[in-house]
Amino acid sequence: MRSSKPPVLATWLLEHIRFSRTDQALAGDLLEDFRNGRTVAWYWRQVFAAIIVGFLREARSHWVLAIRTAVIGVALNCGVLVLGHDMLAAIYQRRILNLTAVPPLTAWIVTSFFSGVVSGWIVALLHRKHRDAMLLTLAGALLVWAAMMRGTLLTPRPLQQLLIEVFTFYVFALAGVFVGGFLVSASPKNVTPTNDSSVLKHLL
Amino acid sequence: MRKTYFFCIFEEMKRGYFGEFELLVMLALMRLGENAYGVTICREIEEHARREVMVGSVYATLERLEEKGFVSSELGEPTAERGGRAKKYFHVTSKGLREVRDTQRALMDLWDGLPELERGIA
Repeated sequence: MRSSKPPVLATWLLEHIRFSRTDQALAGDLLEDFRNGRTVAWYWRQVFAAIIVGFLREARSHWVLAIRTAVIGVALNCGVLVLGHDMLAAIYQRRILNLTAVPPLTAWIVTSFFSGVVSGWIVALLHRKHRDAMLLTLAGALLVWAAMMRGTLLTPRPLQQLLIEVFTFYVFALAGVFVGGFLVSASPKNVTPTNDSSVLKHLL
Repeated sequence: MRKTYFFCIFEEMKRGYFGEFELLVMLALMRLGENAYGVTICREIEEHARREVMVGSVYATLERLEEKGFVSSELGEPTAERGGRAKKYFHVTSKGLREVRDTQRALMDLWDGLPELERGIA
């Protein structure tokens, strides 16, 4: 028998990544339709579409903030990556910790994650009202930036190593962005009028 | 492969006339009357347009139409079936109705006397 409960992760995403005033009604509609016989795949499609459409709408409405987020976020991420790398090198040289046992990939994962946390946290602090849209903007900017950097500026590496580094950066830096961002509570959105819309008020 | 209305968000009302998806939403609202909320609107469009509709796209369109003054909304009572969330009912305003009539008139004028379309219907 088919479960009447929708996928937990999809519902969690829908409830925690918010863009507009109608999100509660939208979540209720999806739940109602799912319980009326829609499939799990349909539910996931609808959740992803709602997030992407909401994000595009908000990013387009606040495009100046989106550009500022991309610039600040990528600069912060670069800075933390470089500083983190230097700090690890200093620790290694002074033999404060025995880092010889730590493989380079682990160090790369730690710095990637930490750079994501810091940039996500600061971007969320600067854009509390549009936190989720700006975090997604930052994630997109980091994806583009990392692809450009890996493809052009860094020293040539074997393809396998390059792919591993890019993949780990994507996974851990982007995870860090959302961990850091969600440490900051978002400002509440505008409250929807309950019984009549502003348009009706205007007409009357 | 079914066409979806995933990127209808990019439709803009540069002037009075509706975009394709906006017109579908307005007509669905008019057909549904008092019972127009997310689920019924999507079902109505899917039934007549025979395409999968993204609920998020419908809400984005409705918000835009509401900002333009073509649609108004009100919240219903929360129900257990919806996990304690209220339905949001939408209605066409008199301004919206006028706009639909104008669009209908423009489309009818354009359609009128096109031999290709007349052969298609026959």
